[in-house]
Amino acid sequence: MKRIDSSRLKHQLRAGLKRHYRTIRPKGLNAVLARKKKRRGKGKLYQAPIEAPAKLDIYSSQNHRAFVSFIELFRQTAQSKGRVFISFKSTYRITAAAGLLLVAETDRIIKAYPNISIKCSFPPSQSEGRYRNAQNMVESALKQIGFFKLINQHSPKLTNQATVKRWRQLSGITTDGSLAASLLDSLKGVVSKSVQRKMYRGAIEAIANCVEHAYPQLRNDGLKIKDDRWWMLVGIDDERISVIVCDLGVGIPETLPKKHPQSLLTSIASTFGIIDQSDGELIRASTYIKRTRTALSHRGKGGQDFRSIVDVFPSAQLSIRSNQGAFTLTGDRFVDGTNHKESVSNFRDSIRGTLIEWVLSAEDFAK
Amino acid sequence: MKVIRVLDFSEFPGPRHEHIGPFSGQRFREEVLLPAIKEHGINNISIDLDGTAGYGSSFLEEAFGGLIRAGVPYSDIISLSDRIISDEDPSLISEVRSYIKEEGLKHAS
Repeated sequence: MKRIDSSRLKHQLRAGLKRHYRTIRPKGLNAVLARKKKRRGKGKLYQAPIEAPAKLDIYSSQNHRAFVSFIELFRQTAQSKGRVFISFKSTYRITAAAGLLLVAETDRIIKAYPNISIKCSFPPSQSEGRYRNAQNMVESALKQIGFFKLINQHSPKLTNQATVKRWRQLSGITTDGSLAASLLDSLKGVVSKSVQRKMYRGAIEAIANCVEHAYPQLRNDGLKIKDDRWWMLVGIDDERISVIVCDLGVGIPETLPKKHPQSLLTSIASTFGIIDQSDGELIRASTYIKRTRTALSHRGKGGQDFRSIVDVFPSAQLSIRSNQGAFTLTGDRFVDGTNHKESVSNFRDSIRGTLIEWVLSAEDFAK
Repeated sequence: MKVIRVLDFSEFPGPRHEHIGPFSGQRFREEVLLPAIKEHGINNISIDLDGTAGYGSSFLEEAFGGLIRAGVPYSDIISLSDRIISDEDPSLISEVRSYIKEEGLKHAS
């Protein structure tokens, strides 16, 4: 028989007890769940994770619906529980527009609930099979645009994926040109100075539009806070540049009829074939405001003329998404999935804000 | 000839009005253009637009179209537009002229 070592007696007794309890404890799934719950600590309720969609994207109708539902659930959970756990385990794709919206919404939620705890999980970095996430671009992209910094969670992931390593994001409250220019500086050496100046022009007008018009009243999302910020992202790879400006305001379809006289809107509708009052058509109508006012010799005040971007850059694509609508305009090619250079679409759900995106192809980088 | 460089005002020209953001067209007009016109006379100044990060259309309209709203005669401002230097982007000169003409038409009617 093994001799008892008096100096280790205490540990040996505890190990023996543990072995004994393991043999007599209840088995089965319920028992396992009960033990897990107990381990999480007294008083802390188990918080089911919010499952992020497989594709963080707002371009296709299906992805738009999944993304907006995810954001709504995120906001509701933050409101009701005070802590949120997001699972990105099924997420294998992220677009710049959806990434910026996610950051903006998270930023807003944190402003509304400064003590909130937001954490998230990812699949293993080299996973295969059902996660289809061998490159783990989602984590890299979210790190690059500051999502982890925002939620105060460490991510060891290197942002070395070519498609996302040059994404830059920031936000502001006033129309501060130096902020926009600091992001556009990442285009140095890739585009000509002339292109950079034209991108600055579009960005400063879009930001000014957010500051001046996006927030006439509180946003109807239940958070009840005044948060008049804009967010901007510049993304660049070998083939294209994206510049995105977004706000979480009331949206163009809401502000357009309040900002402009009905006679002007009626004139635009009959001249340009605006067929209904859907969000998408109202966004399209908004792009004609400046040139129609000028033609009518009203106050041609040189406000943003987003349409001119495709005159300057024929390869460019401009997309304006606001609430449930989207409007896309291209220069020398057709909008994806259509045989038109303009496209209007409407979605089931609202993004509760506005997002303006220019995508410029490599052929126009040196103009 | 007094040359007014926008770059000396700011490398990052801002929005239309100062309450929307810094270095606005309104501020450029009120703090730079109008005092220079008063001091040197509008026929003795020229404007250099080069060297900045770029211009929003609202900045340009408020700075130059706004001169008409501030009471400067149309003929003087349109002649000032002939003395705008914009080697980096010559299209800005015709853009500024269009704002002056639009505002001039509005005031004439």
